[in-house]
Amino acid sequence: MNGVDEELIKKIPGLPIVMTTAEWAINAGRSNSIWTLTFGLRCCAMEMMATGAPKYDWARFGLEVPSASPRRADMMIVAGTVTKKMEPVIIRLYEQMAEPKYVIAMGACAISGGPFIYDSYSVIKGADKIIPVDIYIPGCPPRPEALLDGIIKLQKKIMKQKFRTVKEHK
Amino acid sequence: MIFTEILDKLKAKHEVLESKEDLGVLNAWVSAKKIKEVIGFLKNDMQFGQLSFVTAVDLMAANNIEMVYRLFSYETKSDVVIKVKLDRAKPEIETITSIFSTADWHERETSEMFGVKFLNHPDPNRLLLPDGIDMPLRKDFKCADMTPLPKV
Amino acid sequence: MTTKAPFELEKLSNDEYILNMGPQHPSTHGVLRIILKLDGEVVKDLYCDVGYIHSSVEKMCENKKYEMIMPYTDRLDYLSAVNYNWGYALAVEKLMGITVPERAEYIRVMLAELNRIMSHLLWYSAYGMDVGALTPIMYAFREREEVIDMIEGMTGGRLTHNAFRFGGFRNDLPKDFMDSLKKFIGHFNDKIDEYEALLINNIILTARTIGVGVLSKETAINYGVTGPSLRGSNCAIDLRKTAPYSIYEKFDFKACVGKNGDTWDRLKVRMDEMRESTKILKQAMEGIPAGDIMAKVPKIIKPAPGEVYTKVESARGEFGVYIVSDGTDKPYRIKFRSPSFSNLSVLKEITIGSKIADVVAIMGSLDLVIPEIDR
Repeated sequence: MNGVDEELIKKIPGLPIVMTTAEWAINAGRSNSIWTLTFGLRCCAMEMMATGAPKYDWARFGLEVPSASPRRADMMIVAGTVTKKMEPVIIRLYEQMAEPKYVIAMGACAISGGPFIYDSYSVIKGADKIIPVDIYIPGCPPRPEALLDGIIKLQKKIMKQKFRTVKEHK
Repeated sequence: MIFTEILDKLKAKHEVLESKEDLGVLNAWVSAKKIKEVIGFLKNDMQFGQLSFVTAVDLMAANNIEMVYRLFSYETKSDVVIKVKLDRAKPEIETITSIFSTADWHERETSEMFGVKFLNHPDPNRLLLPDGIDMPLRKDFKCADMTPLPKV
Repeated sequence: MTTKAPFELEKLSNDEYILNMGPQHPSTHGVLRIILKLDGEVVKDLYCDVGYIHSSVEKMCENKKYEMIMPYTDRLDYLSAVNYNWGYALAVEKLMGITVPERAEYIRVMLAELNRIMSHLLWYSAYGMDVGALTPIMYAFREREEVIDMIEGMTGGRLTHNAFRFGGFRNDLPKDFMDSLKKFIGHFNDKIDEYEALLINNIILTARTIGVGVLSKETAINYGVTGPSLRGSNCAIDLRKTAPYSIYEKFDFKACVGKNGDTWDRLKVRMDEMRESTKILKQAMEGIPAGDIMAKVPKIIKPAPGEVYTKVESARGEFGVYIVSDGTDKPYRIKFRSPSFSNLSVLKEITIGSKIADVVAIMGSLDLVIPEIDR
């Protein structure tokens, strides 16, 4: 090993072998390398970009790979208003993602319809009406800090999941 | 150009049913059959080079759909508004896509929002709305999903 | 009226095929669907399918009081929200005959120009990503966050500000605003040079954009194209100059124009515009008078019956608001004339005949924001 005192390492009992549960190892891998689906709908998408940009830098939390294809993505951030014309597209994107998959509803529109809840004929009142949502982030639009907080919450949620209870959406 | 000047020039060539000044801008009503000639005249002979927008207003009380064409001239820096009253039950008007290409999308939007039929339109399809929502900007539009704003 | 497939498959020749792009596509800046008819790599025909974020703003506004509509104008175009606030505030002020105090006008100009810079910076970084350069976003967002911090101190919002009021402005400038603005103006011009060296004058980008997607002046005006996309076609039409609103006559700046109307010219115009905005900011900073920031406005906004159309130069072009008032506290009909709506409709005209990889380069140069197309 480079630069490490080998004698010292030999003193640590059982070092070459790390004991942990497979569950923990897999969960840690999953939660720290979430690939997001780049998918912006409205204002929240700009804050999503700002979160990826240098000042906030979500790569610190393992999200540096924005994937344009749903086949390679683990997490979908519904960033904006869900409309009737967009509904089948979102469902299809969600179904194309590989298991396990997670959804963050970012912003008031994706939670409940937000400012477009009343008197609107074309807005669906919340992303959870059409797909299962794991984390809700309030705000119109939420600040990048709020999105980071949501991502950390999702990572905690992933760490707690058990093999037998990992949800599978059919 | 002030509005009387535009009105005089317009009246010399075409029949103007009604006219008024609104905040310094000429509003002229013409008949639906003449719309193509009037817009063409304004563009070619009076230098109104930009069609700002085409839209409609639902005048439910008068049983009319009023078409609004707004033009702007970059040369004389003046606006003009051409209006056409259409029958609310069967609104039909000639398209002006051949004069202004920008009218294409504006007319498609007006068509799905108000149910105005544009005759001879090159692409008479929906623009913004999905199937199942018809004429939402009419005042009597009803939709089951619409939650009215609560009174406070 | 029904939706139908834009191209009939039976009519395609053996070499032609259909390619669907979007609605979920990283370079459509939102959700826009484009259906391309291709012959090898050459674009034969193109069809835009919009309306994926149509959220019925115009219908909603008919049921809302005039004051309640202001936040929706933010959400039409979240990148230059201030200019959209302004267009709407101007319409109601004109309808009611309200004169805005001079200090408020200066604050509005400063905010609008900062917002224009913010919008162009985002366009710059997004355009870099469209054409495959991931570096620009790292540089542009550094300054963008600086501008956002300034605007946030002033209005409280990062993207959607809702700071305009009929007859003036909600609050006065914060104490440290002038210092941070001075600091920003001091170093921003050098940063624009840096951006140009990084992307705009880069030899790979110039090879991809010069002579591509040429938009002639006549076609542009015929399609109602406005803003930087029009000025790229050597047409010096800037509403701040041609139909001045507010106090823009007082400032010394020029409408930036391109030469040939190709994609590169449209990029260059936006970079130059940021320099001009800095100039305006500098003059506004020096000339701002003391005084009130709100005019005397009735408690209940109830304009007389009539109609009005006002337009402002947003970062993308002419944004207009058409209001029909029937004398109540709610508008009878409100129509937003959005610049991207017309700018997108010209895409078909300038893309046919170019290669498929150019479609993204041309579309990015039009600087589209989808929610304002769909409304």
